[in-house]
Amino acid sequence: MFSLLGAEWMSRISLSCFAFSYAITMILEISRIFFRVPVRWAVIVLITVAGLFAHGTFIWLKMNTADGGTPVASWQQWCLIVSLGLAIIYLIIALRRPENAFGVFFLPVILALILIAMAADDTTGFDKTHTTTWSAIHGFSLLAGTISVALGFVAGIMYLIQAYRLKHKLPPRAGFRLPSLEWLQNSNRRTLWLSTALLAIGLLSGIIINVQRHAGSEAGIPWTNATILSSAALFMWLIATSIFEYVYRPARQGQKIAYLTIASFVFLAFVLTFVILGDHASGTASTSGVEVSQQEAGS
Amino acid sequence: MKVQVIGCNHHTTDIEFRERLAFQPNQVTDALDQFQKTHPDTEAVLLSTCNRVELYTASEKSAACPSHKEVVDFFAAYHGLNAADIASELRQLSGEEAIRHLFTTAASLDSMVVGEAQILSQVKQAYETANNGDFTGPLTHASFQAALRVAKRIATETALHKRRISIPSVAVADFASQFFERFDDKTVLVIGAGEMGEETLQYLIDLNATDIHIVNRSIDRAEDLASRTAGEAQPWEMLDSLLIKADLVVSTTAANEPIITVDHYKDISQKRFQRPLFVLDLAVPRDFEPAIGDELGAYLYSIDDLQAVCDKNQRARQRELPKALEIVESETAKFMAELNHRTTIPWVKQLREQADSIKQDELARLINKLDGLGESGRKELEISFDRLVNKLLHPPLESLRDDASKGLEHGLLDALKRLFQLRE
Repeated sequence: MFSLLGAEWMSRISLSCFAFSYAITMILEISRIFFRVPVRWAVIVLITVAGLFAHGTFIWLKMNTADGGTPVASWQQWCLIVSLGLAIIYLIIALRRPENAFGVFFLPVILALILIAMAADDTTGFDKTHTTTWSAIHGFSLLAGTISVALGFVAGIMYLIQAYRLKHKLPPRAGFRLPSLEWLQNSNRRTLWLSTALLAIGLLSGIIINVQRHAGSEAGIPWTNATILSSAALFMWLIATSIFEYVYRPARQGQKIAYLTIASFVFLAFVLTFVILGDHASGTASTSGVEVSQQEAGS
Repeated sequence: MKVQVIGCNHHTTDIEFRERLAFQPNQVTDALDQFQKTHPDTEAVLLSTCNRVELYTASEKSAACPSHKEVVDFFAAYHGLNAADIASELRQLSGEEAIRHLFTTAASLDSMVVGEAQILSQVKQAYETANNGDFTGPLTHASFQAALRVAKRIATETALHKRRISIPSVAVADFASQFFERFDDKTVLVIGAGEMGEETLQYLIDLNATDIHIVNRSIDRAEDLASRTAGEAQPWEMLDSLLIKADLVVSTTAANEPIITVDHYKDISQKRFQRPLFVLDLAVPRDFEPAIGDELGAYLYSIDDLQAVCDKNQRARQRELPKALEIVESETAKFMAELNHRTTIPWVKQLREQADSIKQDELARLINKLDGLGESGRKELEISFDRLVNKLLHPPLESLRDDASKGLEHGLLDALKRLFQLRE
């Protein structure tokens, strides 16, 4: 009886539930800049945890209802998982460094992803009949790489604001204290390397899947497909920036690395637009990535 | 019941006077010991800092509290001074005024630099010292613990302590700490051996800076500063190579011209591979040409930049002052209400006992007269008498409680004592 009631209650969780939680959290985080309230921090944590619970439950229910049990069944779920990953990282960092205003930077990105998820068609999904280890690696690494690039973007923006503040001798504003320039620079570097590695894995696993398709009976995605080309271009960009960062010592310092991570995010946004607008990973003839042939699935 | 404070502070006396009256930390216990020999029924806490010398005393019996003259005599005798010379400089505050003063002091609202953090630890230390020597009691426990609570509340609910107002503290806490995550792996270069540089260096050492190099035209002065603080004295010729290596520079030379020009810095910056450099130029005239601040990766702060922030922070603290004083007022009123209520407790108890005694006598007399009353009737009678006494005492006791919460200003306690002939 209880489990039935619980299941019914959970099924009522909608996208707007956790979007609303994160929006409230963002308003509370912004209010830190203007005035002090003793219990606000606890309220922020509580609302974020509630939002995470609703967010996680929503994705879990979607996964369980998805045909074929594919972990990421649609672009809507893709955006929701990326936003969930960012929200979890935001909560962890915010708990570890409560004095810093992370929410002001993280939450708009999270909310933007949820808005995209709301706009995305949940029915236009990935091919749910094909899953192999390669497709799982491909999907997971691209997902984690996207989160990493988004993190780099947030850290890059924070770095530029902090650098501007320090350059113009502005003391930290109560409620809008940013992490040190050193911490932000290190975070930028780490996310740049991590996203390069993850997107490399994603791209390579995608190539392997497509090669298998071309070699088999099923039609693969043409190598000249815009999505493949743009993904390859993003990967090349990240490789170039990582090499640049490694070889040219001044690029490891200060604002250059922040600009690089922000540019990577912009690049990623372009690629995702291509991917979402294109037919990559959808259940049409030109499939790839998170799926394999029906033949394999059936065997 | 009485709480009072007798002493002097920076508002009313000059530093020479306070120095004569000051108690060294190792003298405090001895002084309180001597004081309690002459005033055994008095609780005492002695707060002696560079800005104030104050003796807080309290006693359950008002008469046991020392008079102004007795405290003056005690101070004079302890320091070998003439009582007449110091009497007029020592002011006395009693009751609510004393409590308000203690709360204001602990919260650093009465300090020379409003909001400085040191006074709270000094008040805490004074209380602990008195406590360890068994010179405290219920009244000093209540008042000092409340003072520490009030200070904490003000620190939490206002931004009074959040803003730093000394140049070295602003330089390190508001800027250097926003630049670096940690200092134990950073190379700190101190150019010159000025006082401001030394103070700033001390803040950096507190943040675990260890790789410290001090360069000065006179190596002797550099060595002297290194021996007093930490780090290594380096010859002046090493300046450029140390600037290439440094993460943070504190410059305080007495040079009349900038020691680092823009062109000079450009050379250094190239060899640093544009690694950001944080420079605190605390010298007047400046050691680093101001245009260096426009260079990529250079974060240059002059003393004027830091002073502007200090002034801004000072003004921000002043803006927080009314809010902090409001907290002190409400906490003082609350504390005094509790204290006054506590004062009335023995009298209320005596009044109730007196009424109970009369009730018992009258009840016994009546029961003796009423034969065959039975157990239930006797109980009914007893309940009826209890209700009568309670109903009679309720209005005066309620009025007394109200009066206590307002500081017993209407003299109802005295009236009660006289009306019901209550004796100490």
